[in-house]
Amino acid sequence: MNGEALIDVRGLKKHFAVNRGFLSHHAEGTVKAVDGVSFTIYRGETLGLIGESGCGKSTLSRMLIGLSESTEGEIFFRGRKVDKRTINEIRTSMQMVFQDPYSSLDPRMCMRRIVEEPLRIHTHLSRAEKLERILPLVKQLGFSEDDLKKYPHEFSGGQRQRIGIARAFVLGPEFIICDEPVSALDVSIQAQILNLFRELQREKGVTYLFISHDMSVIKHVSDRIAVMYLGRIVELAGKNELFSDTLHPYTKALISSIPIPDPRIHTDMKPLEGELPSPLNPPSGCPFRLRCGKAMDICSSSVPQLREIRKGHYAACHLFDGDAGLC
Amino acid sequence: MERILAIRGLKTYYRAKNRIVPAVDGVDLDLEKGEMLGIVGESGCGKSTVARSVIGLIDRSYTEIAGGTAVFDGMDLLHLPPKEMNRIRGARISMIFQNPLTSLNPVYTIENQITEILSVHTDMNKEEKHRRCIELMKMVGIPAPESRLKDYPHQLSGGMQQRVLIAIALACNPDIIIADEPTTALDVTIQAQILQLIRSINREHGMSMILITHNMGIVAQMCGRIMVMYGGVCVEEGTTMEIFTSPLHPYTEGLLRAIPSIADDKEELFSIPGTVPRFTYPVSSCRFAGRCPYSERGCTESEPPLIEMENGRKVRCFRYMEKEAAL
Repeated sequence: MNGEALIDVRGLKKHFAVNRGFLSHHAEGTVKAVDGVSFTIYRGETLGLIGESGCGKSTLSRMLIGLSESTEGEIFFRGRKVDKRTINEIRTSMQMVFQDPYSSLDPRMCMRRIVEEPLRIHTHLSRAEKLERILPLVKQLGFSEDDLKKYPHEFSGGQRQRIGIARAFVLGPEFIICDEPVSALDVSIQAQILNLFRELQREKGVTYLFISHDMSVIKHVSDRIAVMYLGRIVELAGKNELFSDTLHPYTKALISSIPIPDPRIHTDMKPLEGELPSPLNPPSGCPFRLRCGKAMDICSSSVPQLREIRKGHYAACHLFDGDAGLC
Repeated sequence: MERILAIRGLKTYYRAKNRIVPAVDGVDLDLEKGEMLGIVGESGCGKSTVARSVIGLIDRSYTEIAGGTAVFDGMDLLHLPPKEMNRIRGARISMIFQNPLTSLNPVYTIENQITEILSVHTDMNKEEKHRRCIELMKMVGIPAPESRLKDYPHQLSGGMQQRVLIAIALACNPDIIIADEPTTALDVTIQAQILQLIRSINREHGMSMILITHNMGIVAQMCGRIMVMYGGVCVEEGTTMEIFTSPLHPYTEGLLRAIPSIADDKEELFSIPGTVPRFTYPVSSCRFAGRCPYSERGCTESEPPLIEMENGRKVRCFRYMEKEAAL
């Protein structure tokens, strides 16, 4: 992928202190929710982020959008470092679409107020101007002008998700984080929303970070895919390379775990043994080694770093220590 | 093959404020001994209501079984006195629910909850129950069961909680297990483990199972026969191979085309337009007519009957009737 970097993340970490009891402030340990993550998102692309629950993908997205402060590391947006002073200037360029279309819309606001809210906060447009701004957008998303008076409960799940999308697009952002935007929806509605994301991207040239736990959805929407495990990116590659030339054993396991919707193709569904280890007490060395079929001695002593194994294809695994040609 | 459960014309209606919602509106279903039958459909299509009606878990204060029979071992489950139903539910027909954390009681230990069902349905003494409990936990793959007996549900991971629920369902060696979205709340790698477990229970113990899910991948890999539901009725039924390779009903076709696939690269996903409408009793048109690409005038005038072919394949569509007539 060549192009201009829109977002550059370097060594980002988020550690949470865990207290012993709810009255005690004595820290029992730290949870390394995100532990040293670096990647680049290029303008106009969709970067897919996949991982199981608890791997830190939501924490990462919250830091990117400034909803949560990082413990360590830097984020650059359009080449400028994001910190407390600059975050407010770039807020209008970044938006988020949330997972649950039921809890992410205020039930006491009508659709018009919900979609206009970003304009109310960030601009000084008059009532009529605001309406003028949102009308073409909501019409494009399949609503009529009468719908603007309705409240969230009057809409179906798919329609609510489209209201959330309208709200995210109304300021004309450059970057949108989609945090599991279709996982609460039925298959037929999911397809409508996925097509809509694509159509809007083609038209407005926005950049997406698309988070999902569903491999087939990620494959469908992304240009490149990052796989996270226990707070780290373990593999990052273009989507076709990731699926045809999978490097990391965890990615392999993820792909083979998906039941394929075709009875002629037999998925052996060879399950990965064990479960995600507790982030409070992660294994030494490679976080994946306890579930990995190919674990070696070195895996318990040293943490593998994310390195470019083939052109544009990064993996963090000691199996490829020999192929260190490119970096 | 021996038929273990025969449902005929099941009608379950919900009474809403000023209308009657036909959640299940005339469903026939046969379950053979040792088979794994899949029921698929989107939320609100009535698939869970079928299961809950059979096992007597519907709230009679607003729900009414308006007709039909469900014959199991010579008894009609729909019209059984509550006392007799209690002897069957959990012992001879048991159920695995979707959300393991809300299905388990947070203030009782695992041992308590597994042995509870043995106390109700068997006359085992304390020692026997304890042994059976450990045996069950081993069977469902809980490592070191002796040390887990005194754990509370919140101390277990989602996958382990689901295994406990499966152990409870298996406790009395039931004839039928109904699994209602058993893996929807789980991550893919854990989902693969649980599906593997369910498959081995079906094969090794010859247990008949009904698997309810919205995931076409899961039915493709797990079930021999599938019933597709829409708007409270069966729209198509056949072997998994038939349904996936030559779907007859436009809804099934749409569902299959709407799934993003890992195997091929489609620019645009096919999507079924609109959303699942709300039905009010009585329904006098094809329930899918409003969203169907092939719908004609006749489709809104009366409801097509469920046509059964010689090989047991069923479909509910006027288009198919016409084709048949032309032949």
